[in-house]
Amino acid sequence: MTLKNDQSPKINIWMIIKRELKHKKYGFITGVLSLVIATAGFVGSIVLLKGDELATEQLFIEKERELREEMLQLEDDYRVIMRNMGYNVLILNKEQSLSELESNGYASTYLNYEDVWKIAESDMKTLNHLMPVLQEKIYWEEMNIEIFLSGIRGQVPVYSKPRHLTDDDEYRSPIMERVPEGKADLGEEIAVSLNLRPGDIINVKGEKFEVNRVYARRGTRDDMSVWVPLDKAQSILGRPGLINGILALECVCATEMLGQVKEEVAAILPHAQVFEFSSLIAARADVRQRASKLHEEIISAERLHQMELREEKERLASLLVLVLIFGSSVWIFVLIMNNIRERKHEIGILRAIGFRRHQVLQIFLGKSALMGIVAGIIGCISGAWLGILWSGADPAYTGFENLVSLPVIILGLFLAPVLALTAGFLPSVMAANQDPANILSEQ
Amino acid sequence: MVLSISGINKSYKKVKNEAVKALDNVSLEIDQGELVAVNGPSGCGKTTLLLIAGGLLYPDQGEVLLDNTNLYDISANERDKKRAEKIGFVFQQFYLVPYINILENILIPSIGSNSYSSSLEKRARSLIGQFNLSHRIHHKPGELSTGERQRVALARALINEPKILFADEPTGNLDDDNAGIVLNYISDFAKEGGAVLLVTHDGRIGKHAHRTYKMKDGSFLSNTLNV
Repeated sequence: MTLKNDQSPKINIWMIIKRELKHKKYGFITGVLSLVIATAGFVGSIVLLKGDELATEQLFIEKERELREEMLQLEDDYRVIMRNMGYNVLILNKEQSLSELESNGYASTYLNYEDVWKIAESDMKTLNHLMPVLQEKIYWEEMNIEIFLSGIRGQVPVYSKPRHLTDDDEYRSPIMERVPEGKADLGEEIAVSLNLRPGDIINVKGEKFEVNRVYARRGTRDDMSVWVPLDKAQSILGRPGLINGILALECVCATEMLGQVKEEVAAILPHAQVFEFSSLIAARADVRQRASKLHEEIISAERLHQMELREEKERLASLLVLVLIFGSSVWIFVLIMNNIRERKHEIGILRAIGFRRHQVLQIFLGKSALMGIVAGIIGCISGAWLGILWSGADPAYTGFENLVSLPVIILGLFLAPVLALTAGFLPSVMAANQDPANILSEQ
Repeated sequence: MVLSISGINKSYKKVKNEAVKALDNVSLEIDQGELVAVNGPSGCGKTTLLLIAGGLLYPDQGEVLLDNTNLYDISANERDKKRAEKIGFVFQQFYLVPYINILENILIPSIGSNSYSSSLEKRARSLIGQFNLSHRIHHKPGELSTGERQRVALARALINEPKILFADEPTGNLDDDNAGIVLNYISDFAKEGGAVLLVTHDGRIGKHAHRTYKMKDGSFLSNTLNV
């Protein structure tokens, strides 16, 4: 009698492997699980380290940016401090004798007021805070005292340095404030000796001014100075359209730029000469360089610290992966040995009915390989997922491919089957070499 | 002659290298259509004889000719192949593969002999019908009675149309009814031209055999012709 309407069975080694796995699924699952742990440990630790590196790099960039801002702020603070030390460049008429300047306390030769605008409107980068001044020592008859009368109009905007200027072309932080129309600023010595205060009215050579402010003592001739608007000073002194000096602040980004200013001014104002107060300039350059060096040192120390941390993490991860791989291999070995013991009689009868050794080997190695393939896929996915999760890196920001590289996934996919086959090889060979006569005679 | 065994000696080494003689100068011939029984108590060497005759255990001396080929003069692979093609085994313990159904169990020798085909599957289904197992075709061994299991084991042994069937205590786990059924199937195989070597300690089996050998301590004591 022949049966009908039954599905034909697929009789081959693969069928035996599949059915046995289904029959002993818990053994298969625990085997896969141990390989998943090893593979996920391998892939996960690499992704974790990479993610950690990217996240750290991201934090580091952020930190560096913050630090840079702090350093810029510090540099700016230094700059302001240095700026408050006053102008460090003086431009005079080329004919001006220095000994005469020293003995009189003011220049006796003149520049045109337009000269300061020629510098301001040039593309010269080394000068800033230009201040045209007309200053002479006079006898203030009304008060019976000698003073330095200074005419100033406030700082002339240097258009090549727009970040220092407001929308109205005024300096955001001028070294010296403009004197408002009709007013005068006083040095402390004058104010104290004449008992003058802001709001008092003074008369200078027939011109009336309201005291605007009194400067604190500086220990220089400024203490004996009276500042009025430039046009008033030109009128009082009878020097219309003239000035006798331009004060400026040399912008020093590096020490090597010192001295460049003379050449640049000479190119614009061939009839002028330049005096640099070099100690101030050098101090300013030194401060700026020190701030920059401090900045670099902090960043380098942080980078070194991160590198050391990373090396330590790598050592720990390598150790962990080795332990996982070893543990997983032992577990697979034990599982397969146990499986062989349980299937001893099955192996015996298969050999008795004509199965070759290599076919028995195929059954066990095939099972190991299948275990490894399944574990490789699950291990790679779970390892990558856990690695990303624990590293705190955001794949949307860092790019998924930067976190989980293809070679790592390929290695992970190969690792589990290779591990399973290696651990399962010896027991499988033992199974294939079992003597069926010994097994079958046990009955 | 399907099987010719001559001058077989076999000893096992036990503790302290003291040899225990399992077979002592045993000779036997089985022709087509013959059912030969070897009867004797446990430990007399019956199973050893069957394993040696089946190409599973090297004898110390003597030769085993299966279809005129000395099984121990050929390579292990060739011996495996001969076993898959020309020998069927039935054991007391059945040794069915527990996780596949009975149709697959019966067809499993085709993997060893690389002989799976649709005609072989037809033969498997035919054997299932012949052995009254049709209603169990998709059942697994654990779901069968002991008698049914032994019938599956017998069908598995016969699937490749072997020249000779080796049966080791095939009724040892069966009740009288099932033992009778199984012995009838074995007899039918012999009647259809197959050769059978059946080893048992059950004296009642002798009536199914053409010849019965009494065995004790590794030697044949007597030879009874039952026909």
